[in-house]
Amino acid sequence: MAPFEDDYVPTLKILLIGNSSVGKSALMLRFTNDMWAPEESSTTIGVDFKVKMVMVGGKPYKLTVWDTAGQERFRTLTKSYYRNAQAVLVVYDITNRATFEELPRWLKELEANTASDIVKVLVGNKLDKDSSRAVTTEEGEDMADRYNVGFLEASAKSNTHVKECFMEMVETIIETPTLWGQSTTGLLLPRGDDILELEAAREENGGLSLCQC
Amino acid sequence: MKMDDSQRIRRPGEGCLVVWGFLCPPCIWWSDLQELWRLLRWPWACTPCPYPTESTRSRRTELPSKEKLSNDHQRLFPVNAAHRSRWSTSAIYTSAAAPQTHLDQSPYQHQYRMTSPLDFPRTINDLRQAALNNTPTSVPRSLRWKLFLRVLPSYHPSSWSDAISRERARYAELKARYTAPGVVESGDPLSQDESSPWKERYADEELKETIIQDTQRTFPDIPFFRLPRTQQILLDVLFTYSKLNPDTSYRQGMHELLAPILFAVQGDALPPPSSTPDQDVLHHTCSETHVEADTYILFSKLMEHTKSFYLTTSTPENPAPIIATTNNIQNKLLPILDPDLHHHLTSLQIEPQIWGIRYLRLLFGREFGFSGLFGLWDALFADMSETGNLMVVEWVCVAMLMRIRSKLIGASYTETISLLLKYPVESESEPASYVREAIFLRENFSTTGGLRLVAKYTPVPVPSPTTSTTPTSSRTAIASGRLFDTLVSDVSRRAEKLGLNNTIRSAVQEVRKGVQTIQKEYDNNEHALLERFSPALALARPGNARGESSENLKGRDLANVLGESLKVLEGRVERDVEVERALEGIRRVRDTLSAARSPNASAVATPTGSAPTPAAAAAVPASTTLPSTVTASLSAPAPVPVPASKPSAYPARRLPTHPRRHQSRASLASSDFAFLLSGKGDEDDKNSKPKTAAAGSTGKKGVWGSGGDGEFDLGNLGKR
Repeated sequence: MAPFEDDYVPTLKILLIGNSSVGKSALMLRFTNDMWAPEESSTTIGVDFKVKMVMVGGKPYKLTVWDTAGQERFRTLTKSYYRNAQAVLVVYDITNRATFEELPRWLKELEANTASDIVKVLVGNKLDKDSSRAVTTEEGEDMADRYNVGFLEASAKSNTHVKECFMEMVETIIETPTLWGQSTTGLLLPRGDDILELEAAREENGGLSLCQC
Repeated sequence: MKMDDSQRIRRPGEGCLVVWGFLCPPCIWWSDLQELWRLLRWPWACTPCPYPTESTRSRRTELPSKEKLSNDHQRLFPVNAAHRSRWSTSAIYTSAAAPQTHLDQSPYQHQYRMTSPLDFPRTINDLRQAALNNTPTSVPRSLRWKLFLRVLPSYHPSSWSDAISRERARYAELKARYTAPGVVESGDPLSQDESSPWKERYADEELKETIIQDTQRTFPDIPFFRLPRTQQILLDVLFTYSKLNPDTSYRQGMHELLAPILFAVQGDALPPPSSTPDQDVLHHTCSETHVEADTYILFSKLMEHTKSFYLTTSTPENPAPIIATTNNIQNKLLPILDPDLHHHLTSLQIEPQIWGIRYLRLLFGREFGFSGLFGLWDALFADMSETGNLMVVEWVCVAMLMRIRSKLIGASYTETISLLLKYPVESESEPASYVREAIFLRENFSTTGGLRLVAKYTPVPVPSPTTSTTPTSSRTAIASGRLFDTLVSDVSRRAEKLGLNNTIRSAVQEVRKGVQTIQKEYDNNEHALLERFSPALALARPGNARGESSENLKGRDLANVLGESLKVLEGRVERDVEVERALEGIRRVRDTLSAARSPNASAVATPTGSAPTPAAAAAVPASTTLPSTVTASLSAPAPVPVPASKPSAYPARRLPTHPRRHQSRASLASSDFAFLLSGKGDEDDKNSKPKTAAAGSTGKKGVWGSGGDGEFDLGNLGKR
């Protein structure tokens, strides 16, 4: 368990990367607001950001989820996106082979830009379109094994495995003491004003949704 | 009689008289029933039609001369166009609107709202001012943009047809070249050879798929963009542009620059003229048969200015242009205009590209939403047509940040990022006001300039004093003096209470001294001052010319700043850095006080000066306008503070290395505060006599001063 006093709400940073149109924003929206809103699915430009409060082991944590634009890879923002991230979701679309084939590039970039101990999970999205699948589950698992990352297939639309995925990451982060140390200074240090942010998050999410995991 | 009217040949300007919807066939043709109903309700909105009706076109004997065209824009535009243009594209629409099935009709035309009677600006400058002030005109938006973006080289309509025809022909040629390549006959389709024609074909297909991914989700809640033909136009234009610009190719975000342009062009589209273009220049310029070409032309013109935001070639030595631009905004412009806000963002380590990339690449489209961006772009393009570049967007970013400064300052990291990435546009403020403020900041690029915006967007911590509205200002002067005294003693008291050290007390005393001196000077020279500054004040605040004394205005302005500083002091006295910030606030007050003395001093030197010098005239509004009147002065059509201060070249290049300019004063050197002067005290002793008219322009630098322009002189203020 993370060594924090009861008064402080620690902040976690989770990053979503992957090709354009694989459903990164949809996963984020599903997790933070439990919404499926295709009508709001504008292309992400630069970066987007949402906050969600979660309860793990009876303690509140504040998750900041950073959703990046698929086209920004190897580009302008790389460094600043990855800075202080404790967990990264690499997303591909199981119905689009090309997004799967791009994964090695994403995963290599990830290795180059982050500390080795951060939590990495490979997510095959759009599980609801299983019938038009272009990448088998086994292939996904193989890829995950090759790069030593977690693996999961999910669907933001049908809300399959989304919460599980995020919550597992959060638990892993909390159980990894090194992630609370040097690499995350600044973001993780408990701050007095974090308590106030509970209020902000409550307004932001239209109600404080606490996952009792 | 009516039938006779429509049969005989009409001459320009003659027209049918009152209810012309019934008489003028084009009006009926291009008006649906709703339009006709509006027409009946507002018949005065019609102007005489300079053109013959369709039925008489063939028998027409006289065309309007070119002189006539250029002399009278009101008569230039056929009435049916005028009818349409009164329903602006940015008018209210709802997402529930039934999607149109044909592009032949303007999207949502039936829901457009009448904005005003006809009003054609006489010059391009009038048109610009109208756009900046959000004043409706009857010039269709797409035509405005064509003029502002210099697709049409002049405001003179006689040149339009040729210019637009040339560009359209060019687009037709480009499109034919790129989107309809011939059948590839040679080579092996499976060849990996780089030079294989198939390779390019595959790359093109991939590019198209990338574009389609985004066109499919362009403004998802606007039905117009769900039409297959709309998406085809978006695809063709973006593909052609990408092929022509391989250095950027297609980048996400371009589609949201293109889409509003298409919407505007389509919304203003008119049927083509049935005779020669000369007869019907507006129909030709906004022709519905050239919607796609016109959209491309506008888009490529806009991209000339925004392309750099999409370039991504980035090395550690040479960051991508957008990184440099966003850095410039947050770390060069903001520190001068709003040091507190800059400090806040820096202390949270917020990188400007996090928010800046989306702001700039989409020209604030996401921030202002589809309904707001048209008004904003109008103003942006209007400024661009004058300056020739789109650098005003950097200042718009600063203005946007400063407008939410009170929310940002004090917010935590996540709150700050949330605010920046989900920018809270006030629903009641019109988008163009951001551009007006941006222009104001550009023309008043100094901490004092920024202070006026700061004051405007900082909740006033002290109650506004009840002001006397009489021009004889001895009472108000005294009142403002009392206000200062109250404030100053309040600062002192709180400083004591908070256990602040002598340094801060000295600073407070410094402010008090400054106020007292100024108070004395104002009392002594009240009449001379009034006589001298009244015209300038009148210039600055039309309608409120002699309403409040300049001292009083200044009083409130300063009160805001002191209140701000106090807030910081109260909360965070224990931190040295914060104390330092508070000190800076007090220093700023002192600066403003010092700045006020220059014109005062010159007033003493020439107490019966007949007319204010340009510098003094410029100075007064810059320093004395109330926070609450900043809006008025900002929104005035012509930037009132300095008629002579045309926006100079873009000032980024002459940014001082140090963020602060200070004019040192003798008494400061002798106080506990003297360490701030770091050895310059002696020089300052000699050079900063308060009553020396040239005190501000002797070239003396404070510690933070840099270069020759480092003084706080009211005369200079307006010129920045």
